[in-house]
Amino acid sequence: MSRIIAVLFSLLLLSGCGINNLPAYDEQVFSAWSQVENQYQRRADLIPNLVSTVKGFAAQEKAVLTEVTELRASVGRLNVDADLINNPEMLQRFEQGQAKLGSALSRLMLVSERYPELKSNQNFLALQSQLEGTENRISVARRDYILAMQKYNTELRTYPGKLWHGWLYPDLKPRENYYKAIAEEAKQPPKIEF
Amino acid sequence: MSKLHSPALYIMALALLMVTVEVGADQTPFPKLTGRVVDQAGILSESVEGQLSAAFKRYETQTSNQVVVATINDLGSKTIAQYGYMLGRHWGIGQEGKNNGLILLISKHDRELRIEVGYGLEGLMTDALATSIVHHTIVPFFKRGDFEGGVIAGSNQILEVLSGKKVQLPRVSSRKPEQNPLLIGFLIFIFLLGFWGLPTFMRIRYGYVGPHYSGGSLGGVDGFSGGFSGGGGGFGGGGGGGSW
Repeated sequence: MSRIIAVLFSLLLLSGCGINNLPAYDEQVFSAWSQVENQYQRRADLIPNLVSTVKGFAAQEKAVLTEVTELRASVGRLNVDADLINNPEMLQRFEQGQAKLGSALSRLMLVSERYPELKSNQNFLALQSQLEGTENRISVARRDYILAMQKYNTELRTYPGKLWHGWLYPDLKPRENYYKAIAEEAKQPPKIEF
Repeated sequence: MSKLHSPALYIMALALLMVTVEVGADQTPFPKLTGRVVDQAGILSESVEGQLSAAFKRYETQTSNQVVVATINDLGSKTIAQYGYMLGRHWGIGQEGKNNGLILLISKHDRELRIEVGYGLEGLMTDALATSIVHHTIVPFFKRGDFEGGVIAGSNQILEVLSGKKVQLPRVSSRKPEQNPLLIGFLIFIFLLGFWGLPTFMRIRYGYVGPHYSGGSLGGVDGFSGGFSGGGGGFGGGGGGGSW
């Protein structure tokens, strides 16, 4: 009887000692990343409508309109054929592509300022606030992803996580280069070029 | 006594300490959640706070959605969008699992405000609607220095939108928002009548004592009796804002 109690007690202790932390944090990294992808997708979904609205009032701004459309398409292609979460190089390229798309979009919005009719168009105003909201959601999701990776990497390198890693989860790898791929991009906000 | 000095206890104490330090490291000082209206900047009178708290409380009992108003002095190094979602998560506004919280956040010195929307309410309070409420309803009041009027009108419209009423976006550009002062005045009048005037009137007239109000200025105290706390809702950066 006392042995059963001892086993139960030590199991309880173990779960308090973070035996489940590594897989749980690993899972959090994945879900945080899917949130980032969701928000990028949401932005991509807004673009066709935005482009056609701007075209209706400012067709002469061809350069920036085509740029936005093309960047959207090229980033979309990257997204489809790459398992981004397991490939740091692709992840970095994806992130760079998204950053370029972001700055092209902010240029588009800047250009739109010159057209009073466009600026007072109800549809455009709604799209504008949706785009702002989406950019904001993207930065929140990216920050959450970075924090999730930080937590995971720290758990992997510190006790007691380090012990559990060696014993039970040797196949889990540190996600340092992923972290670098995305965090370095985050340090430099997209520049608006004229 | 000697038990207290066992190494296991030391380790536990150390572990506890580490947890607190870790949690503390990521936090800039947010104001305390003292009720449904947290007026750090001191721009709202007690009676207005009471009315708002009571309205938000009633709304929560009906729908479980949590709405709060927060006024702060300044944002520090953050943008208002960052501050908003972090504050929402810190306070845990909205019910856990439903994430149905909303914060009307006002930073006095930055002259900025924002409606921060929890995940679960993003479908009802879209970014476009939130931005529209900020620009067309609240900002005109704030420009005149009428914080209370703006917060009341804004809160009314927020509750309307969240109740699923279709609110028309004003058909003017964001540059020159036109307001119908009569309509707003009428709304405020109705609001005041409902929350303060009517019970007072009825008490004087018929000796009626409202279920929630012990008196006009004490409405707020009753409004969150039993202590108000966030339900653990999550925020992901939804909403919209502006400046005045």
